Amino acid sequence: MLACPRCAAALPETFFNAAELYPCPSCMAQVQVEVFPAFLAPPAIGSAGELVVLEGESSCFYHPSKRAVTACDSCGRFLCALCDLDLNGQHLCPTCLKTGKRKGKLKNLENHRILYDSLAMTLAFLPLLIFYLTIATAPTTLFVVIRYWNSPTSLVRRSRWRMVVAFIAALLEVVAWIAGIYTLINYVPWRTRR
Amino acid sequence: MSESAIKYRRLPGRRLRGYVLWIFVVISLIFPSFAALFGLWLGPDHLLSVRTVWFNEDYKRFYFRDIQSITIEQNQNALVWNYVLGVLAICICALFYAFSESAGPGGGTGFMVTGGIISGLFLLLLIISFLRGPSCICRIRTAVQTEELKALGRTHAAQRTLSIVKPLIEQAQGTLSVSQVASQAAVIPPPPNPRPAAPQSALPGASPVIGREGEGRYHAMLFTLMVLDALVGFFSHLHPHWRLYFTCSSILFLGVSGLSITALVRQRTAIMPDSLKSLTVGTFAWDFLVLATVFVYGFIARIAYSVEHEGQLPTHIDFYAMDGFKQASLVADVLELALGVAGLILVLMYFNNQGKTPDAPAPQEPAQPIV
Repeated sequence: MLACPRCAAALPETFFNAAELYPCPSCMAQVQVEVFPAFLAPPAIGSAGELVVLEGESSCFYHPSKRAVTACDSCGRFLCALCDLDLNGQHLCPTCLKTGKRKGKLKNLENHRILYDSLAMTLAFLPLLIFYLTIATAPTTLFVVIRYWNSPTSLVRRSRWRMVVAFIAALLEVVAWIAGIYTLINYVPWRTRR
Repeated sequence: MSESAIKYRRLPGRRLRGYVLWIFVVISLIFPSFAALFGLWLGPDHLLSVRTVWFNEDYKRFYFRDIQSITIEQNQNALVWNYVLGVLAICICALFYAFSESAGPGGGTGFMVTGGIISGLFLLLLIISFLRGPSCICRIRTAVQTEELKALGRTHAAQRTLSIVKPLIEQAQGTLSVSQVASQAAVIPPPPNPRPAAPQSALPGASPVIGREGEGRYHAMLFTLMVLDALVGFFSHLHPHWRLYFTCSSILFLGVSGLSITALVRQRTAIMPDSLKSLTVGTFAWDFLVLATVFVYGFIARIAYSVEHEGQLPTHIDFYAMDGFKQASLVADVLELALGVAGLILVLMYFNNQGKTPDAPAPQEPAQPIV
């Protein structure tokens, strides 16, 4: 039975799907519980795979004694019921699953990303507080933008506007530095006096 | 479905752990794993929980077909924050007003403007927090895990999200009626990783009751001390003797402060009415306010003395000689007495109700069975 999240006491069934908060009979904490049919479903039972009984019957690549039930959608190897890994309708073998996750090919298993666009924005704008830092950060920003332009951004943010804005800002900073240094070299007071 | 083609839709609720941006920045420099931004997004067949720390994003997917339950547990975190923000706004406003008064007619405007801006910021945060409503902890349960949805830190946002997500989950799984839950209650496994041990009265099979033996003792002591402190305050107005008054009052105040912290810690796991818990939180905020006021008053008195006596510091401060102290003290004593008496009444009601069964929600109409 589902328990109160605060005191772990069992909640009566009248609490389920009640559409508003009710005090737990035990700890009086205001609790709302929504239960779905998966709550009652028994745990899925895996299959160990059937043995090959007939001569010439296709067998699993990893378990030659087991009968093949499907082929891997990635590498095409025959798989038994034990090796067949279902990933959102795709049938994959353990090796392809492992490789796909490592190389980032299986997007559904991707659980981490580095936001290079945010990094570029921070590098372009934060050092403006101490302008002298931009002599180092502006070229770094340009490098990050060019190097990681094709890197995937956030899963939930599609646009690359941050990259564009960071690039323009860093370019302006670099131009400002070049102009400043040029001015310093050509129009310093001791040169104009001469 | 390829993830790159998925369009996500933002769901209500977004939480910056660390509360405000500058705290977030400072904390994230010291504890990078603590300060994070949480968000919840809706995909075509799953929920995506996103945790952002600086330039890193971590994702967790909850597929509609796997979600067993979603629970919302309301708590008092927002209430505590509201008290803290309110007290800070008042204290800062009072402090800068006092500074502007002591700075004279020319230099007071700067203090007034600065104080107004800072306390206004706290007031703005208080209003935003108030409008967002009570706080909560939202948990999602699947066959293999129970995960807290940290993006949903407010009850209103959690309920709005639930109203959006529920039809999609039911589309994937079908609906569940109360009678089905009741009939299959026996075969449902217990929750994984149960939280702190349930009280004996709360275990399945036993009738649930309000309160446990021994609970509320610290609350009773706290409110009794508050009443006593207020009475000492009244007595001091009749017979002013500041040394005796400050000695007694300081001891009682220390006792009240210690007990309010103890009661706050105890009530976290106690089975007691929310009104009593809220009053204890209010008492703690009251202690903080009194402490801050006394500190500010003393600070101002020292500054005023050193301005009057050309830089010399006072050997002691006679509060009774200060303008408005008696009136402020009287108001504080009345408020403390009111808090103490209200608390004692609630504690007595709580003691009377201990061992009784609370009202449960009325049984509802059975929902549509699984399609």
